[in-house]
Amino acid sequence: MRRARLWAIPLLAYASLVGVWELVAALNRQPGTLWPSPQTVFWTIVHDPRTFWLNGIATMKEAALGFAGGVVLAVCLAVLAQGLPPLRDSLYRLSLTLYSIPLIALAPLLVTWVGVGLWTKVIIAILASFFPVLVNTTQALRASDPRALELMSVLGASHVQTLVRVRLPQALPAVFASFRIAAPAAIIGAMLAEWVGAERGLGILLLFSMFSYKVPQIWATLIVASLLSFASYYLFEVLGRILFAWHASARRVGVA
Amino acid sequence: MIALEGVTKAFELEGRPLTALENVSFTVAEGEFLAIIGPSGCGKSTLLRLIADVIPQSAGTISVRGASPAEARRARRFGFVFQEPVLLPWRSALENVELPLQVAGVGAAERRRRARELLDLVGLTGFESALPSALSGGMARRVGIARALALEPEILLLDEPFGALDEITRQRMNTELLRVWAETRTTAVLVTHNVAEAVYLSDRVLVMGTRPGRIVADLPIEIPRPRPLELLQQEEFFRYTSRLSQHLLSTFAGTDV
Repeated sequence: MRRARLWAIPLLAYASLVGVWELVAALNRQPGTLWPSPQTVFWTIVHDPRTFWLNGIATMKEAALGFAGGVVLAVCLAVLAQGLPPLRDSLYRLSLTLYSIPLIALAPLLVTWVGVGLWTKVIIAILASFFPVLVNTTQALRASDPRALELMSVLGASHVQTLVRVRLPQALPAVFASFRIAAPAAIIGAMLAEWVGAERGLGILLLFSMFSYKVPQIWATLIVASLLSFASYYLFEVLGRILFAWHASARRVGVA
Repeated sequence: MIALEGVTKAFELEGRPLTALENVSFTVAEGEFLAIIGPSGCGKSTLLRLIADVIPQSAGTISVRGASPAEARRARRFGFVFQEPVLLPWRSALENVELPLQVAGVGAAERRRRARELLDLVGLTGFESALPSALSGGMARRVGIARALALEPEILLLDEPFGALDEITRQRMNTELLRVWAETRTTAVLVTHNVAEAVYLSDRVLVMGTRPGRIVADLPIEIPRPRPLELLQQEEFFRYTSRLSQHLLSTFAGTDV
């Protein structure tokens, strides 16, 4: 009963949203309208799945590489900062500075350095995804249970042993939680980088659709990109829940 | 075995100096079970942490079998049982007991075998794969004791290990602790604020007073072992507990607690 209601409410919300959209579209019947109906958008995808598949794969590849790079970079920096306290503040400030640079401004610059190939997108995706992971990992490594640290000290454990046996495992759920933010960010970063030049990808498809005034295709691309972002978020949500059953964050909120 | 000489520990609390321990001297004999009892805030837990080299003393000397606490800690002479069991929540009961052996670099097979033996010793056979969240308070503390014994320490330091348990579980754990201690024959130092627990378990009780923390009485408990539970209702037992209570009350005299 509770379960059914849990599903029914969002389903109803989405259904009514699509309904309103359909209604608005029905009222704007002129050719080349800005409001293609949900049906039109749906058929755009179904009639030409190849376009969305090929471009989606291209973007996801860039995003996945960037996400992986961003995670490795962020975790390494956080561990380094944890091990070398004097480095902590300067590393953090440097990361914040990097993160503050608008990616849209950085993309053209990268093109002049590494060209319009894969790596511009990967680097932008790295920059888009590494900061949330860095913030969460740094904080989680610092929030180790002081009693567990005292235990390791009594046991005569080295810094590396304490890191590997206590600090990192304890931080892992928080690190994983940040993946849910970093993964969609990597997808957005990759799409953004495609705008300054690419052969394939959802970003360039969007740009192409805009210039050729294919409004239904813009909407279709938007929906495909959103679904991919959502899926990447949910992937880490579910994985986290499975992997960290021992952690409080794994318990679902509000479900008895 | 353990000797403290003129040990003083001063903290700084919100900018003001605070003497937690002043001029504390005592020795613990080989194989002795010593209890340290006192009101909260008398620095008894601090004393254990000084012996285990978790924190440094401000003045005085501490020696553990002729070595410094730091040397003894690095030689893994101590087993420490904390107020809370402090189990790593992602490790099973068995893996938690394995932790000290892992840190000491013992091989996987030997580690597993030792950890199993220890869980047997504390009566947790069959709970090897249970995660800490599935264990009761008493069981979690048994795991904590098994872990403290993993490296066969010469000295077992117990910091109010059963303080948070209900009275019945506490008594059961005490009986259990005595049995384990008799089997392992380590030197034990127990910190507690429970008079009956101190008398039941130990060979000797030190009573501490507050502000600053200092030793006000040193009372040997001459009750033969093994000590059955019936002891808790005997005249002899009450004589000791009432004497200890008197000492404890005297530490309050003149203070405004």
